[in-house]
Amino acid sequence: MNSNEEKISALQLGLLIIVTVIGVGILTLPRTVTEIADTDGWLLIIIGGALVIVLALIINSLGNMFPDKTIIEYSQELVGRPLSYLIGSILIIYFTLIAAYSVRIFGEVLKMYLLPKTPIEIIIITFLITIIYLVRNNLEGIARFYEIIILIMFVPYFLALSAGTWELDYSNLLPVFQLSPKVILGGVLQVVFSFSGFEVLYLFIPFVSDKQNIKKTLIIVISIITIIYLITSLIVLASFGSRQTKALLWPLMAYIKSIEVPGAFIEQLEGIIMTIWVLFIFTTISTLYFSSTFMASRLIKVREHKIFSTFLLPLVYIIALQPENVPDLYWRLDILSIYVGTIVIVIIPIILLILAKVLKKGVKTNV
Amino acid sequence: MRVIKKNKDSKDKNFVPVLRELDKNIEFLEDIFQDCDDIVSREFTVGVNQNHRMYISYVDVMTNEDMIQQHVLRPLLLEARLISPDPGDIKKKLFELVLKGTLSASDIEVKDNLDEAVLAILSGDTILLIDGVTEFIVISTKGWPTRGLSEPPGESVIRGPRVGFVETFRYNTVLLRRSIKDPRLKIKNTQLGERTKTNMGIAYIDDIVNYKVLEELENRLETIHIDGIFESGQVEQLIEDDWLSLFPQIQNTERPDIVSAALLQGKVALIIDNTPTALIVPTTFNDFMQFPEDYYERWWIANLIRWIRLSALIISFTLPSIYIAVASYHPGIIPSNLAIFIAGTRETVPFPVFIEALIMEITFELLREAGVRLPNQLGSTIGIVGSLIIGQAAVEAGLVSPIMVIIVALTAIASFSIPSYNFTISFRILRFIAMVATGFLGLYGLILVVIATLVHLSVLKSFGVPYLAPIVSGRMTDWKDSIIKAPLPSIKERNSYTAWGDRKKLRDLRVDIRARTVDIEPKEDGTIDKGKNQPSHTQNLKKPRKIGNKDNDRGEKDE
Repeated sequence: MNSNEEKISALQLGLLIIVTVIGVGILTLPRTVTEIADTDGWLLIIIGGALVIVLALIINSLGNMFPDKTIIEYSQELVGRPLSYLIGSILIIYFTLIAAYSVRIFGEVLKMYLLPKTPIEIIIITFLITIIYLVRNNLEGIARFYEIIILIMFVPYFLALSAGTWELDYSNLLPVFQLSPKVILGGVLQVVFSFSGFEVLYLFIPFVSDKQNIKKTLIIVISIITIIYLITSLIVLASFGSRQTKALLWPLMAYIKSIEVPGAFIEQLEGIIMTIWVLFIFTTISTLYFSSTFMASRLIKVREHKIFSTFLLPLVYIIALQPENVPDLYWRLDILSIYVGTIVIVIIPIILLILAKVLKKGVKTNV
Repeated sequence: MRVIKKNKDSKDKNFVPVLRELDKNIEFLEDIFQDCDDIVSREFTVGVNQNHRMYISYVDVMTNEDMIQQHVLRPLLLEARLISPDPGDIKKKLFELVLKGTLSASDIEVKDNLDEAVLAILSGDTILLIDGVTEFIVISTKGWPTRGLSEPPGESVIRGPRVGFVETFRYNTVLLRRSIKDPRLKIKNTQLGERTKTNMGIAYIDDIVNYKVLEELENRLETIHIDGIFESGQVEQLIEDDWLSLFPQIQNTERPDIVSAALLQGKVALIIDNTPTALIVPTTFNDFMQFPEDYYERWWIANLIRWIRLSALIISFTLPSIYIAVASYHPGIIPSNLAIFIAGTRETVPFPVFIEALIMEITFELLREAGVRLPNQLGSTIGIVGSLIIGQAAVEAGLVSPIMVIIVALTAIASFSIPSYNFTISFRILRFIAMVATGFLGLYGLILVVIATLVHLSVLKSFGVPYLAPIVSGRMTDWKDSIIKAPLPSIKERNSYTAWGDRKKLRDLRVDIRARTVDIEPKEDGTIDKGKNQPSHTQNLKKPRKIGNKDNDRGEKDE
C-alpha cells in the first residue's frame, strides 16, 4: 500500500457507504419487494439488510486480515496471480457497468420528470464531466465531499417523504406475515442487490485510520440504510397499495409527484426532489466510478488514477447509451446483478474468507 | 584598495568591512547614495581638542530629528566636551565610551558590515561612524509621518474596539502586543522583496500554534523572490495553496482584535509593513462567514446573524439562477397564480429570461464598480441613475420585468451582507457560472454547479487544513463555533484543527453561577449580612456576586 495515501476515518467510510448504497436502487425498491412479497415486503428488506451486514462484515474481516491491502493484493496471496487478475477484472467491469447503467437510469428519470426536452446525451455527458471533477481527487477529498453533501441530501428527502404522510392509507400495508420461507429465500438476493455499492469496501478498508471502529460503523450504517429503505417502501406502499405499486416503473417518483403540500409556496415537490435526487445518484456513481479507476490503477500498478478517470468517460458514456429503452436497461441490470453481482457480493468474499482461514494467511487481529 | 567581496547569491556573504580610515568609509557610503538627495549626512569632530572625527547619516524626515538632536548630536558635541575622561583611555576605548557613556539613545546596535549600514539608513535608522574604529553604531531613530489609528472603514462594528491597523509595521505589532501580554506571543521579523525590503512579522503564540503550519508558512515565504511587496495581497497570492481556485484561502483583516483572536486559536498572522492589512493562516470557509461581533454579542444574536449570513450567501449564489429555472424551465414548481403573474409581467419583455437576468446582473455589477471609485458626492448620482433609469425606466418601457429588478436587488443586498469582501466576489463569479448553466439545463444545471462548487470546496485546503473544517473531518466539539454558535461558556476548547499544545480556552469557574441565588432581601431579624469585603453602600446585597470566589463559598456554609 502506498503509505503516502491520505487516510479517512471510519465515520467517513460509513458515510461513504450510505451515500453510495442509496442511489438508483431506492427508486425501484418498493416495486421489487412488493412484486416478490406483496405487503410483506418490509420483512424482506429487514432480512436483506441483516444479510448485507453479514456480507459487509465478511469483507471487513478479510480487510482486517490484510490491513494494508486491497482485494487486488490480498487475493493474489490467496488464489494466486492469474485468478486475482480475474477477480480484479470482474470487479472493474462490474463497477463500470453498474456505474454506466446507473447513469442511464439517472438520465431517463431526469428526462422524464425534470427536463423533457433536453436530449439524454447532454444530460449524461454533463453529469459524467461533473463526476470526473470529483473522482480526479484522492479518497480523502471525496470522503470530505460526502460528509458535506450528506447534510444537504437527507433533510429535504425526509421532509418530502413526510410531507405526504397525512394522506396515506395505512390499511394498504395489511395483511402482514403471509410470507412463506420459500419466497424469502427466492427473493432476498434481489433485495441484497438493492444494497449494492457496499462492496466498495473491498478497496477502502486499508485506507481507514481507525480500523477498530469499522465493524461498529458498518453495522450502524447498514442498519440506517435498511431503515431508510423500510420507511420509503412502507410509505410508498401505504400510498398506492400493493397492486398499484407493482404497476409503477418508479414508484418513489410517482409518490413524490403525487404529493401536494397544502398551503405551501411550492406547488410541486417533484422538481425540488429531482434536484436533490441528483445528489444521491451523483454520490453513488462517483464512488463506483472512482472504485473502477482506482482498481484499474492498482491492477496495472500505476499510482495515478487520474488518467484512468478521463479514459473511462467515453467508455461509460457508450455503455450508458447501449440499452435501447428503459425495460432493456433494467433487463441488462438484472442480468448483471444476478450473475456478476452474486459472484462479487456473495461468492467472492465467502470463498476468500474460507481460503484465508484454511491457508492461515494474513495477520490475526483482535478487531 | 578596498576589497569588496560581493556574492549575489546570498546576502550574508555580501560583507563590506568597516575600515579604520573614516574617509574611505564615507566614500563608500556616498558612492552608494550618490544622487539620493533625501539622505542627510554630517561629519563632525568631538572631544575637548576636537580631535575625534565622526560621521552620521540618515534619511531626512524618515527619522525622528528631535531624537537625533537630543540623544545623539547633543551628547556627542556638547556633553562629551564638558566631561573629559582620562586621556589615556580615549584612544583605546573611544568606541566603548561613546557606546556606553555618551549616547543617550536607548536602542542602539553595533555592526561591522557596512553593507548593512545602507539598509539601516534606508529603514530610518541613523548610523554613526567613528574614525579609527572598525565597527559602527546603528541608532534606532525611526520616526516618520504616520496616519493615526482609526476604525477600518471596511470592517466597522457596532460593538467592539474601534481601532485598526495602520501602515506602520511597529504600530501594528504594538496593537497585538497590547492585546496579548504574553511572552509566548512571538513576532518574528523577516524581510521580503529584493528591492523594497519590506518588513514582515510572523506572529504566533508559541504553545498553541500548529508548528507544521508555521513551518510551511516560513518555507513558502522563503520561496518568494519578488522585486517588491506593497500590500499583503501580493504575499497572499504568492503563498496560497491553490492559485487557480476562485476562493480566497487566506484571510485578511485590518482589525487587531480579529488577529489576536486568531492567534489564540493557534493560527499564524503575517503583519506586513506599509499596509494596514494583516494575513491570517490557515483559513477556512468558516472564517469568512464570521465577524468579531459574533463573539462580543450574546449567542442568540450571533446565531441569528450567522444564519442570516448563510442564507445571504445562498441567495447571492443561486437566486437569479433559481428565477431563471423557475420562469423558463419549471413553472410547475411554484403556485400557478404566481407562475401566471410572472408570465404576465414578462409579456412585453423581448428577451428570454436568461438573457434578461444576465443583462440586469451585468448592469448591476457595472453600477457597483462605478460606485466604488467615485467620490461620495457623486456616489448618490450613481444611485439615482441606477434606480431611476435602469430600475424604473427599463421596467416602464417593458424591457425588463419588475420581478427581475427585485431579484437583482435582493441578490445585491444579500451579497453585501457577507462580511468578507473578497469572499463575496468568489460567489459573484459563481453566480454568473450558475446562471449560464441554468440557462442551458434548468435546475439540473444549477445543481451541477452547486455540486462542482462543493467538490472544489471539499478538496481545497489552506495550509493543510481542510477548507470546510470544522464541518468535515473535524471533531464534533469544533462545531460549537461554526455555522452555529454555542453559548460562550460552553466553548471550552480551542479549535482542534488549528490549535496544538494548550487546548484549554475557558476554565470552568462559573459552573454554578445560576445555582447560587443572590439573596438581596434582609434577614428576618432585620440585620443585614454584610458578607466579606462588602462596601457599605451595597448593604442590601447579601452575598457578593463574585465568580469562583472560594471565600464566598465558605461564607455560605457558615450560614
